[in-house]
Amino acid sequence: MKRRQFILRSLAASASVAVSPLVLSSCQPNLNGRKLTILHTNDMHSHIDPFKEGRNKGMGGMAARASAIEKIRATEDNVLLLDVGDVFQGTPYFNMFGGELELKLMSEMGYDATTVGNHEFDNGLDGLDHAMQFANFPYLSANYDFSKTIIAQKVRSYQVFNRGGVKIGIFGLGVGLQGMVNPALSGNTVYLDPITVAKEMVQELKAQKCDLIICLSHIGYEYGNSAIPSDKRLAQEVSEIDVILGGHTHTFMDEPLLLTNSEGYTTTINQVGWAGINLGRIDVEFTAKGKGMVAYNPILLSNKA
Amino acid sequence: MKRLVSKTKWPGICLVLLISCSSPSEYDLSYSWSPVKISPDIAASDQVEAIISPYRSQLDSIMNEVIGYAAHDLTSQGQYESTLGTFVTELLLTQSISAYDLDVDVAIMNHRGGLRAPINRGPITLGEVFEVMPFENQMILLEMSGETLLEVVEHIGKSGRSMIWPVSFRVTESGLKNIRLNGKRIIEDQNYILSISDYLANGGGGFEMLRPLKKLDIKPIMLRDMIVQEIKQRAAKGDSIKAELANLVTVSEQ
Repeated sequence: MKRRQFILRSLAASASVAVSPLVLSSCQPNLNGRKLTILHTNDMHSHIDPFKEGRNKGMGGMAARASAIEKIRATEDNVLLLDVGDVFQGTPYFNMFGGELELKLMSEMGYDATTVGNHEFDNGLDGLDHAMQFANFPYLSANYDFSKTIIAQKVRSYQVFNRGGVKIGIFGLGVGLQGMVNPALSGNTVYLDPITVAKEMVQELKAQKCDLIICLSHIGYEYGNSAIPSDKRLAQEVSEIDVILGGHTHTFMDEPLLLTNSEGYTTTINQVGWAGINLGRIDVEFTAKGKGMVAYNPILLSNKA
Repeated sequence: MKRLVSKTKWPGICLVLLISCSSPSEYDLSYSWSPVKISPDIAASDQVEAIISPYRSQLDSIMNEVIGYAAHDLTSQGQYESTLGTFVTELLLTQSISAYDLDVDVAIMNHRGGLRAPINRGPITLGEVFEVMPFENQMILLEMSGETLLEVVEHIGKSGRSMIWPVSFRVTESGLKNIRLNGKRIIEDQNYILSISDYLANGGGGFEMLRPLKKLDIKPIMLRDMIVQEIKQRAAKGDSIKAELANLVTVSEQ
């Protein structure tokens, strides 16, 4: 509410200036200066608690992550909190409770969406179906065809979100099942080529006039064998995906990769390792072309609570 | 915190927008990134802790049980052999032989990837074994010809992600040499029994050649249960867990 009042005030203040009719025109909101904060995790693998020992001792933990997210929400208006799959499997919490606690906590933190990683199949489709009742956010997966399974109604290809007037189209992609998931567990799930499906998704989301397209990709960052679909191949072969949030390969990236493909389109790829050791944060700002960067204050984050 | 200005938004459709609306239709996107390390410095959220707490108590009451002792750290580090892989493949063979009362010849474990955490020196809790083997994999038995077994060994030599106990071989640039099972040649038209997880037997880890094979009619035992059983049996005898590399695999140029 506060934000809206602020915007209205700015419009009033600029009413005498010649640009105001442009701003007030009806069909396309002026995105100049709009900001969006994307927070993301991948491959949390049931790490509810911080690591008890080893080189990651003390790192991670969902209660600490919740505090970090809360702190960001206190200063940012337009936050998207996204996960890229493999929420399940890796600690006894999953063996004992089948993913119930992980999804309850993600719901509490206000996750906006996740996708289906290969380990989401670990207790079979029945197990996934049962656990999904504890998630109050959607599962997005465009290249797993679940239509002949019991979770057909519970997974969508994509969803369009609105944050502060910015339309964000988000779709999910999953890794090849053969040799990865026991067929007894994935049942009648059909895997479709992620590159082909991504092209269809971009068309669909563009038709819906999305300002930003994000892919939740559990297909993996890159492989020695370039025939295997990966995030890098996806960015090279499919234009107009703005951000690929990755997973599966547990890749810790020092900074996102901005990959410009042969059509000149640049996609930002990021992945934050695994086990909830890091919370990824990408801030996107829309700037009118030709005006250069608007004044932008980097948000300095302290780890201290 | 870094930032970078990137690309033009919608160069292709700007004309349409200019006609239909008078608002700016082209944008640059600038990205800044600042990952947050989830470290012990961040205070835990009380609200989230309250949700976790009853689950944790229930879990701890079961998982904190000490089932044995490790004399040293066992890890899955190592290309062809690792201490943890040696411990697990060896126990899978001996446990399979006693559980199924059959002459099982070899056991396979994808130690790199399949064993998800180390066993640390000192008391071993049940929870630790769940972290080593979180998957609900079951051990099954496959019967195969020596010819197929050799194919399996070749795959292991190439992929370098699994261990096969007790098979020795030499990795050379022109392929595997001196493949031996307990020091003996593998005979192509003789049958062998292999103990392996259902995950690998269904073609996981690149073991495509195993999919068509006949599964023996036994009651499968969970892989994790076999590990727990072995650790408990050794503790009952007053033994701790230790494993040295058997150096079954050597790498040479020729």
